[in-house]
Amino acid sequence: MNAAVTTDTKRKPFSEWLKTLTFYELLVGMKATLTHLLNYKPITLQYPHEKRLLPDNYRGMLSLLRYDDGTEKCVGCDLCEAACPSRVIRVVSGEVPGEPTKRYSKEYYMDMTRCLFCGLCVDACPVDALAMTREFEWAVYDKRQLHLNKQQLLAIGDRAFPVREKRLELQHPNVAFFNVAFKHLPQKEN
Amino acid sequence: MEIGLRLAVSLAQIAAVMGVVMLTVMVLTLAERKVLGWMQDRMGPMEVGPYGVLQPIADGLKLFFKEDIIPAGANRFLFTLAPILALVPAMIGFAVIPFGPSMTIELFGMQVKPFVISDINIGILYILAFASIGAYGIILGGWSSNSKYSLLGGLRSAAQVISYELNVGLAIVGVILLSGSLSLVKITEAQAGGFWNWFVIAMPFPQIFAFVVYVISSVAETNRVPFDLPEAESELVAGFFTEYSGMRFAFFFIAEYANMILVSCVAAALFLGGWNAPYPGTILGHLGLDALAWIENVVWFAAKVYFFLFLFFWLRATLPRLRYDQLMRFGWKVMLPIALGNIVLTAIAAYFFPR
Repeated sequence: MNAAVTTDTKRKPFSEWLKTLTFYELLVGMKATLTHLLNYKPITLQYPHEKRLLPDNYRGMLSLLRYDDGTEKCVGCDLCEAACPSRVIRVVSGEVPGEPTKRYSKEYYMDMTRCLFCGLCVDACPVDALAMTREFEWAVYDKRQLHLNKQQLLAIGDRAFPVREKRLELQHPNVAFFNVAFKHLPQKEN
Repeated sequence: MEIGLRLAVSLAQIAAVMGVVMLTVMVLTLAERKVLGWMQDRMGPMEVGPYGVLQPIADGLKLFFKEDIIPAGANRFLFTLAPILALVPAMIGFAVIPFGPSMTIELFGMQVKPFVISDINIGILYILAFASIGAYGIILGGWSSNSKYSLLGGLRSAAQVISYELNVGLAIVGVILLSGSLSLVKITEAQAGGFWNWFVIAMPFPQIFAFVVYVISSVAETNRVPFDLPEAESELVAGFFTEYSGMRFAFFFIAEYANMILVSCVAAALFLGGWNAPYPGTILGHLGLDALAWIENVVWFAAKVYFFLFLFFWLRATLPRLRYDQLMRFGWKVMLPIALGNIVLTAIAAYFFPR
């Protein structure tokens, strides 16, 4: 387009002048856009009406899981809290009443406004109590709704993972397990 | 009685033309987004109505019910005046555009030309004059907003419109030399009888250079991509109408599209034979349906205008914005000499080979 910009002293070949005069570069560009118009293949996905297939390892909303008998998997070990780079998780651990060798999380909070969905907490969990669901539509009007407690996280896990694991000690005779009440040992004196 | 009747007929004609223009503006706002989307492998608006066809209505309703904000530091009078000053000249130019054959019909005992509101003998001059006034709307809108982005947009627009209006004026001189008239109806009639008589390729001197200069300059004059410096959204937010909202913004918006239609109509009438079909006469006329031949003519005119409007979208989808100094250099150092040389050559050709 700018035919007048020639700072170099070398003479342009005639074909270059011809290209400038006939707007050759412009026509090449316009041919490209017209080709796209004629071979109209939109890559748009009409999002709320049609949704793309998520990959298998998609890292969406976090959730807490249960065993198939309905007990929580979480043993309150705080490893997820230690692993979290954004300090999303806060665990208040405690003993199971009446079973002094067994621990659980009394309270479990996640501040999802800070979560960056790295999945380090899921990797850190020794009992696979944490999992990432494929939910991603978590837009809310009040960001306090993204401060989730244990009940909410368990509910997410319940609706995202309907098939649950057996308790560890029942899975296989050779599986290693811990944090299980040993009923045959004498109780700790309180 | 006679004057009242004539007024009523004229007003009806004006209302019809305004209706068609506003309808075309509505269609254009949708068509632009759709064509741009298709060229960029997108879909354009799809939500309102089937395939988004009701989007212009939704946009219009939104703009109509939006709050009308006047900035605290703005000059209220000029801020209010500017959108009107931009819209009215854009609309008023359609008064001399011939949309169909120049025939007269007998209506209530009066001679009425149905396809042109007013066939004045300085038609093209009239359009150029009012196009210049339209620049005032942009400049005043930019200045009165009391905002740096608006002011910069207005200044750019002033420089750009003045530079390129010159080229538009010089580019059409060749056509006027060949046709010997300033009336758009006479210019169009001079191109009757097939596409080889259209001024863009007509002997004795084809106006192809003038045509190219006119098209480029008209794109610049309507502030469209790649000459959209007055409203460069990546540099100036929205340029001269940054501070405008609601209906005032809509006025600027409609003015831009009306200007596009106007320059397309002028280009079609001056260079591409206006309402004339690219073959002698009309098919309906050859079939003996002379009373219906005007339909064919109007369709040809609309087809030419829509081709130019499509060209505007096409350029917008293809080209990046020019830098400001490139814009000025291109206007003054490239377009202006070509237009002047075209006038000289056309004058020589018209002198030795009078039509």
